[in-house]
Amino acid sequence: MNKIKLFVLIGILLSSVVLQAKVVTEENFINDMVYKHGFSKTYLTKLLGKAKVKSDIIKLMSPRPSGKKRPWHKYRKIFVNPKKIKGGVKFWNNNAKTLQRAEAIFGVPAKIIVAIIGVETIYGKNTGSFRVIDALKTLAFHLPRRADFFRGELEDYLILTREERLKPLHQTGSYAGAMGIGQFMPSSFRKYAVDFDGDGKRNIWTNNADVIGSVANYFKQHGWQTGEPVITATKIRSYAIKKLLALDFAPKYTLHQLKQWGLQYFGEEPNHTNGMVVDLKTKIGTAYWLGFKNYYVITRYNHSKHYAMAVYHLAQEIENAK
Amino acid sequence: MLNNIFMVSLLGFIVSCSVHPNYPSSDNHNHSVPVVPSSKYPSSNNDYYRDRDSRYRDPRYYDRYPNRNRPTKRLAPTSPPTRSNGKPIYSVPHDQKSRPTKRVSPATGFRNNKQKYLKEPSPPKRFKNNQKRYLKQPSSNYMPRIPSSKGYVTRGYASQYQLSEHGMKTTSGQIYDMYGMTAAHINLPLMSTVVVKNLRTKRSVIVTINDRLHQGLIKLSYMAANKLKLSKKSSQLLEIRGL
Repeated sequence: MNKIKLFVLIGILLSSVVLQAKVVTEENFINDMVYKHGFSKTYLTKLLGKAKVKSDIIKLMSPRPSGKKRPWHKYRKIFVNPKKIKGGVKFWNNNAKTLQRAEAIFGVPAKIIVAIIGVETIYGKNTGSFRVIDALKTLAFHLPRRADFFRGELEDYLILTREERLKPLHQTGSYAGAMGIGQFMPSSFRKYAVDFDGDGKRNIWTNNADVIGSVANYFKQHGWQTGEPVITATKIRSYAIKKLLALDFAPKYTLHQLKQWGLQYFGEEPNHTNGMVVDLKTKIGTAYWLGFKNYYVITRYNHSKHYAMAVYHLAQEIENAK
Repeated sequence: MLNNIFMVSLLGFIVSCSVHPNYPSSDNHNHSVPVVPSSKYPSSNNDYYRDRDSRYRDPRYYDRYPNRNRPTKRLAPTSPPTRSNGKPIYSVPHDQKSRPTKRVSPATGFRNNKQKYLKEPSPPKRFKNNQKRYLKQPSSNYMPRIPSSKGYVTRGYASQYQLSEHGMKTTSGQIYDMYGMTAAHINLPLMSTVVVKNLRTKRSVIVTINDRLHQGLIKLSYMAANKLKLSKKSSQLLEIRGL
């Protein structure tokens, strides 16, 4: 018995040591940046010293107090409404040539690009009022749940400002550090943002052309299939609902497999295309859709089935209204 | 035996040679007994009567066996029936006689009927469970198809798709999506677009007709009905205009 107790004690001690090792302080982070990317230590300590820790950001990041996710029909109303549709038509007309060029170069339909910009920032009206450095500092060092992710973003942000010759204290964004009209995180800015009007700068804060090009490039890099369907309605046999919804949230399985498991799909897509089952709660009951690769690509912008569906619906509505 | 065969063949050769090729030769000359096709005058040995029903189906026995297994379809008469003086009974063969054309009012979509044209249709009545409601609604059986939706104006009542129809194939081949702006119509051409206006809420939507309806005038998708603020009971008058 004594031996077992000892083992347990050692285990607890070890695990606590591991947990402690995971937490990275500001000082460790700065040392890392100096070692990895050759920043000056005094510059970084000054910079992070000027950044503020904001408690309201942590409040905004925490899950909803009720603990329940917003159902689809309420979510849809926020993003697919007459105001956004009208704004989308206006944005499309103002940037018609750039959108056409992006569609030709990247193969991503203009309606999807417009809808993304509409859902993210209402066509540039609401790009966020937090300083990016404040948001990233708060989340990287005071929110242990997602500290690893945001430390990486802070690292990317510092490199980005050096590369693009931006002032790190002046850039604004959302409470999660997403920047500009397209709400790019610093890492995706570095990977996917493009200079689409040839002025030598990747300006996603005020330049609509660069934003359109960057969003289209983001989709292209994540595997957008031109001319392929995004999502279509389907039926599911009642016994198969549990099994099909428990599958991974990615188009991993072919229609052939899904049909064998109980999917009732009446579309004309060949059986070897990959798909994923999506369930959404509408006012009259739960309905099912079959998402394809392009649907999955939209979820890469924001990992939520509601988000991708809202973008697709807004795109359709804007196209109809145009 | 061999000799016999040789003799017969020789005889046949002589006979065939003796007949002049220019003369018309009939089969009756060569055979002592006339051979008649068995189907015309069946002999008792033939198994023509084994299936007794075939007798009833044979038009030659119609007068002997009336009203039994007789095929309902009959061939049209080749010549028009004549009177005793030789003149035809009808001036035009009765099967080719032109009928008055069915005229469809462009306003209502119904056959030209003054009452229907002038009056607005009354809302569908509420029926008890044991009454057959479908008998009272317009059915596609007598609603003529309209070639184009242009100039089409009708007032009527709409039904809505059910949730269980989400994901089903429509007549046009498209899949019904509850968030699509589509509708099923009784007699407008598929893939035509119409404006549907709710006369009570004064809202209007543009829908594509991608499905055929067999009972009622129009069936709207969930989203189209939602945008019109249509109540679930089909009691709000709509106006449908073709584009």
